[in-house]
Amino acid sequence: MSSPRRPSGALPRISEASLYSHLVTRPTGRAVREEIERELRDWEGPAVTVVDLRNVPVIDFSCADEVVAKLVCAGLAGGGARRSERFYLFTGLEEHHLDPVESSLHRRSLAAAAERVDGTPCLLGRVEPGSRRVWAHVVRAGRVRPESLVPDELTSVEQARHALEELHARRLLVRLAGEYLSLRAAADATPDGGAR
Amino acid sequence: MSRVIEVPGVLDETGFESLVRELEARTGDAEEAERILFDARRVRWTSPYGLVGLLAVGHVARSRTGLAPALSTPESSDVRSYWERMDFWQNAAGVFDLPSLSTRSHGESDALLELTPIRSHHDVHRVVERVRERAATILERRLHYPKPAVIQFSVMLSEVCQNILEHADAEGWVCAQTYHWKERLGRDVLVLAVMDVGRGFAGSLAAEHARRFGDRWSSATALEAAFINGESRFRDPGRGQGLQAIRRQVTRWDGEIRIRSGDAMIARVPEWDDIDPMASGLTPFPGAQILIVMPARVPAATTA
Repeated sequence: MSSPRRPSGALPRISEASLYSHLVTRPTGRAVREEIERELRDWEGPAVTVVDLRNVPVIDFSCADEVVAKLVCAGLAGGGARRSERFYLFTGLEEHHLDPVESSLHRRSLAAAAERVDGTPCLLGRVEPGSRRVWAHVVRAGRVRPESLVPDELTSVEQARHALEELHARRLLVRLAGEYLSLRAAADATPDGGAR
Repeated sequence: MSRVIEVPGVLDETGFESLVRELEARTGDAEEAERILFDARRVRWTSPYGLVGLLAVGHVARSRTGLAPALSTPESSDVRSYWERMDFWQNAAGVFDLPSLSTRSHGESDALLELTPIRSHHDVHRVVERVRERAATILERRLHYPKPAVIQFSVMLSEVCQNILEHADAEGWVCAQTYHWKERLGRDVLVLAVMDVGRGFAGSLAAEHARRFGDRWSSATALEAAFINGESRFRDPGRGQGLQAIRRQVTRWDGEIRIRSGDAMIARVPEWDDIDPMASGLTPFPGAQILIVMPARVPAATTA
């Protein structure tokens, strides 16, 4: 049975994965990742998955690589194909999660959108300072058009569009009907364009 | 007839090296299999590294001679009691030819982690879960480490145990204990020992890296590649970060880590010790032997 499709330009499918217990060892991480990916296996449109780590007392480097880095990596694998757009927002991050998660992303030159346990957004992994500023701007605004970025951050609409497009390509922003949304804004958005 | 190897009175990392040399001398020229007897009667003191080391040496003696070695019991009641508390005899039963021992239940041990075999990822989970409560007490109250250190220690323990599973292709053991290091440091320390008798770093990394090093490929270069450069036997860039993470964490705690493999040893040496950061030409021994020492924080560092 195939999952329902959404028309191009519609909101991505939103799902949540709450993780528990000690995330240690590669086989554990692999099992967790495969479970998350299985949820989206038959989904042919873009999808945002919120991965909640607040109940994870320990995550080691191997598991962070298997869960966080490889999920992000797989989300990039489809390139421009809209059906393979997979966005991951890692939430509930405590101080002790940061080193393994950051390290695993750096090893693969990846980046991930995240939120600390108090809800503060953060960008983890390898991202240029200019791109970080643009990302932070979008996160503050929730959603932007390239034109709205110009006065704040960049010198031309083209440069703004390029920066936003790059962040989208890295699955750090969702692109929707000419706008760029933070993953949180996309996850909270309702079909009529408002917030949940 | 048996060949006798006397177990050093002080069975620590130096005692382990002595055991390895003796084993090499006693088994290197053997024309026919002869049983080895490890005479431990005069052992006066044992560190976690020494205890795991004795098990590893026994394992290698068994595989070299094809006969389970014998092991005599220490005369010192303190040492006997320590070995019992660390679950040494249960683990030794599969390695040494022991008289049928009625292993007594020792109740709650004061060890952070008794000698535990690592054969699968389930063992790693068990170890991480088991140490959590005890580590909190020991790291905070005895070593004066901040609260997050418990989690960081669990992560380190997990990674160092996984190193056995990922690279050794053989059984390994882990144990951890705190004690007062009066002569060398004048402080309490937590000592973590992890060993296996598998392929070793050179064997594990050879297929992927040996060609690049050519004639220079050795246990020393393999250790350097893994410990300093984060190389792994896998091409996957996500691999190999465990040991580097351990090195970073040990450095933050002003601790020491030594990894011995084959005939070489590499170390992160803190200011309070003066060993060489790299040694080669040691007596060859299979697998990898890891020693981590975490000293108690001194008051100035505690308030920093």
